[in-house]
Amino acid sequence: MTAPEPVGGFSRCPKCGSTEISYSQRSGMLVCQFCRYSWAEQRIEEALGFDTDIGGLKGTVVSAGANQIDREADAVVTLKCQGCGAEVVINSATNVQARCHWCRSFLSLDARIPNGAVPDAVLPFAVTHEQAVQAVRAFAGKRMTFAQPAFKREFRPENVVGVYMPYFVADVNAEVSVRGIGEVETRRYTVKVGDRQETRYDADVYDVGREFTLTMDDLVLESSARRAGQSADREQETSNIINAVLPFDTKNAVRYNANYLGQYTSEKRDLDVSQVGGSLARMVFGTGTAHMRAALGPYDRGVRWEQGAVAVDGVRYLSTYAPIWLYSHYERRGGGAELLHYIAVNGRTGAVMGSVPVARGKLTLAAFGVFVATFVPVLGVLLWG
Amino acid sequence: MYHAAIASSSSSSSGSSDLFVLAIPFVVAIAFWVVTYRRYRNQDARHVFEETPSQVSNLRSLDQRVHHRTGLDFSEIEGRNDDDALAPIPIEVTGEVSR
Repeated sequence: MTAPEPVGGFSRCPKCGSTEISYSQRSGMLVCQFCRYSWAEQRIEEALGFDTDIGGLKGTVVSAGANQIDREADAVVTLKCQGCGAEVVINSATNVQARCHWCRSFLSLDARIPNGAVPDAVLPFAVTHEQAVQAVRAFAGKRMTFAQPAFKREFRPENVVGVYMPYFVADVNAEVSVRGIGEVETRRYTVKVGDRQETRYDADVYDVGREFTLTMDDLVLESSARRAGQSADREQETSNIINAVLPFDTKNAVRYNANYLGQYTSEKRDLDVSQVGGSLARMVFGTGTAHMRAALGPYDRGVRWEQGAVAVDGVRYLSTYAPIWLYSHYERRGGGAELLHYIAVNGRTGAVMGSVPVARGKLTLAAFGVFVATFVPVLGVLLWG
Repeated sequence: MYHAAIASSSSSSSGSSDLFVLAIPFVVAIAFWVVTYRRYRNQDARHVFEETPSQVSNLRSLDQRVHHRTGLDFSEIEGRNDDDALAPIPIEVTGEVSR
């Protein structure tokens, strides 16, 4: 089942019809550069009818922007200018907007093309470049003591770059079951082992099972293989850092309009919903067991879950672009190997996470200093205490 | 040399506790290295997806006592994983995402 496809291809100011539109980060609105009229696109959940009860969700609904990628689709797309009729070529791998070389109209790649370049929704940047620079500087500033000299030498937080990352946002209605062993302590006592006293425990052992319905609202999944750790490059970069600045306020995502992207770059989606099903099921299961923790109170020795099942009754996907500020640094390692370190700032919430390359020799030397500083008083206690 | 000094200053019954105290500087130094490295590299950082808005309903529970164990060494069940949303528990997936 596929949600209704929106019409797109040529963005005009709703008031004067100009195509010169830009995104104002301050107001969070699109602004016509000709008549200064400002407006925002409709929220995507309302636009697609994805704001209905998740508990009643049956089957799979995939929005137009999350549809299967045509691997043969060319990244180069020809747009027909609706201002003058000229044909303008655009490389969707790098751009979603072009200017008609005849009439100077702006052409926006809002039409759904089957190569994954155009999502259903976008969460515009709310964190400014200045705020991102400050966040990166503060994060790295606390980690300079043992940072590698090259990182310190090359550190230029002003080089942080705004990128729109592709994600699937899924609503899920699932039945979850989990089975395992739980233990309840019945007695705690000490026994003499040689010349030592040791604690021992007695426990009742239970067969524990839980079955429940779980609904999840706006579960965010990576839709770029590289960011999801599914690419061959996963050992050469710190993608988990970008993942760690989630979540986004997905409820505020608006219908995609290329004008929101402005000067920012974007990364194309290259995963289909069929390739994220396993991850989705794992996340549903993990969320389910997290919910169950509160219901395991009597098992004071804990529970060891041993098997589980997830039956997804209904799921609906939409694809969205979400904003990330990225600062990157290449660490050159021996043998020509490199590791790409990121410091990422969530472009909506300002949450920050990063990876700073460590000068291991210096850190080891400092650890040796800590050892000496601790060893001297310990020795004193043993000798004279 | 240290051992000789310690031996001369300690009774034989306190030998094991002396060794334990001697291990403290090693443990502190290793902990310093590991904690600092982790703070810089954040290799375990991840999206806490289990905090996504979600709701549980229609909960059915099974709690069946099966036997009793005595003389256990540890205060927690072996292999405890109820507090780990990423625990590699085998799961069977059916329905809309199994295709």
